[in-house]
Amino acid sequence: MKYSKIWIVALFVVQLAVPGYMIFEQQQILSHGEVYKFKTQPIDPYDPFRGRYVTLTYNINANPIPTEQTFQRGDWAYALLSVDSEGYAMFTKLVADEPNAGQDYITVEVSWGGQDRGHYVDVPFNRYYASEETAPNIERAVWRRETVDDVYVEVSVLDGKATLKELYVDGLPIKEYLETQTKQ
Amino acid sequence: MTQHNQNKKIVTTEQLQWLKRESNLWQEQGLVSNEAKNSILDLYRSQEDGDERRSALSNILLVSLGALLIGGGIILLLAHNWENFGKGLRTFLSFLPLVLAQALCWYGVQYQPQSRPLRESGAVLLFFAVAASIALISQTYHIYGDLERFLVVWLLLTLPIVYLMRSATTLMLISAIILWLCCLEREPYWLLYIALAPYLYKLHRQNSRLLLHWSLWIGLIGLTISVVYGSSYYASPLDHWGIYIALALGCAFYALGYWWFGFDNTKFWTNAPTSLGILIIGLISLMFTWYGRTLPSDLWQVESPMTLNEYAILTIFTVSIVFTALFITRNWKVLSVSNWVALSSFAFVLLGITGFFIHQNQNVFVIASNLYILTGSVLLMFQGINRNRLLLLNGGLIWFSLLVLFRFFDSDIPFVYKGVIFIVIGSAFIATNIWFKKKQHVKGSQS
Repeated sequence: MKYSKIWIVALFVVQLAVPGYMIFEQQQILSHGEVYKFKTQPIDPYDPFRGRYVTLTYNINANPIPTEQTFQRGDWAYALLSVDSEGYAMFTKLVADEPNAGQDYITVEVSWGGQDRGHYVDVPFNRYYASEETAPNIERAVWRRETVDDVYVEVSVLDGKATLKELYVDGLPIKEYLETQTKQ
Repeated sequence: MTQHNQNKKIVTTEQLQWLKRESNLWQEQGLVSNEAKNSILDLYRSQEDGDERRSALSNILLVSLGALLIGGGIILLLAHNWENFGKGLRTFLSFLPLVLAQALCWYGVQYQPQSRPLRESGAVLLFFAVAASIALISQTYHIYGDLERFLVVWLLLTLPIVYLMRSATTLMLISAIILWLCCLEREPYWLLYIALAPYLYKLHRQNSRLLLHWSLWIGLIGLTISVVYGSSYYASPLDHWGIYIALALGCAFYALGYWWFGFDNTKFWTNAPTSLGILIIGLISLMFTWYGRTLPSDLWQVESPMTLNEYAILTIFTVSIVFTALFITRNWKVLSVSNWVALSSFAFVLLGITGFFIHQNQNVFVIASNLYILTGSVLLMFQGINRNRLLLLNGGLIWFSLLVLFRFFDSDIPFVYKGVIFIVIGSAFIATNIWFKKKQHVKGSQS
């Protein structure tokens, strides 16, 4: 019995440590990461456990990322980051080996494509969680403005990991933007 | 092994006490050994024991259901996304249910180790609290992750609860999560059912009947759906084999039930493997009676690559075949007619495998399976009548009726043939009935 109690305590510690580490990791990325802006278009789906969110589809993902290496679908790779003339993030190259320090990159799962035409990837920050009231409003607000390209997210990047900081429309964080819309 | 509690004869407490006193005397007088005395006492239980047991079980059931609803409620409340609370408060809230559930579990283990309802409810709450905690953190930080990743983390963090808290309700919930994962992604997550097997055996050893049967039913149904879903879909390398894999699983379950619970356990609910096995056998054999079922023309569809999931499914297919074959050879002499009816469906698995090598005509399958169900269902009905077992009689009737229904709507057989076959079989039934009545009449007049 005493032996099993030790195991129970160990399980409790692991159960607390996993969410604890999740928070620590996210805080590290948010505090020390480099911030990039990604152009996006949100749509509003539903998760039974985590509630409503908007799925973010990125303009950066519209074209395959060039690569000189062969990847299979489902492989993990490193997408090198850079900034275009308008200040938005862009992927310059997909590589299999971890880049050196000084080069920002994001660890991504390779989707379809090939060595000749490049690969599409699954961008690992495709959900923006919001409340049941806010999520549909975000979708509506953004879709009404689909001709305007001022919808983007700020993403913090550190050691290949990325965390979504905020969703912006018209240069305003989404909640502030929605408030201004309600006032109008 | 002690006799199953449900099979014990119920007597009054006074009767049981009298028997205990008397049997002690018999032992002292050397009439019976200690073992024989215990075996005799093990045949009976008092009415109060039964009532107490039932009340304890309903207690566990109600408390577990309560905990399940509360746990689900916490998840739903947090899923609402209280975005105005701020990160600090939301982080605190994500740990709060987890710590409270852990405290309840600890209280149960430390201070009320005998209270099964407390243990079960604590474990169920902890199971949901883990999910609530991860979900709220993912929500707060917009953490990437599809449902699959979420479920895997949840599963791995809660699987040990089954063993450490000795919670059968958590085992059932985990079975459901594994099934969910298998239906989301065709990956060999069903192998995780193996991790639950030792606890099922433990429940069996503890004679924990209600929880064992619920757990077994849920676990085995989950395993079957996961394996069949993982092998039978368009572009699956094993798509042609899905029907044989399901049938082999059905035969193996049928054999497993009798091997585990013995040939005496003939109740539908209390022998989940056998009962599920017979349902699978009945259903798959009916599928064989149609034309157009894919014969295994190729070992596997070579254009789709074999992955770990396919190799794992092939392994369970092989294990099922070997186990069923071993069961038949070892119990050859004790198998009853109804056992043979069920187990002879195993021949279709073997036909499927040999069919691949000799390119069998589809007619062989269709005719053989129709004859098999026709003969099998009639034999079951006779067995049901002779042995006065309503379950067999009804099972045979349902099987037969479905066959008749299917053939009635079967567009592959010309109307004239169908009409003649129906009339011939109908007449045979009436003739058999008359013959049977006469036989009974003769028997009655002789005695």
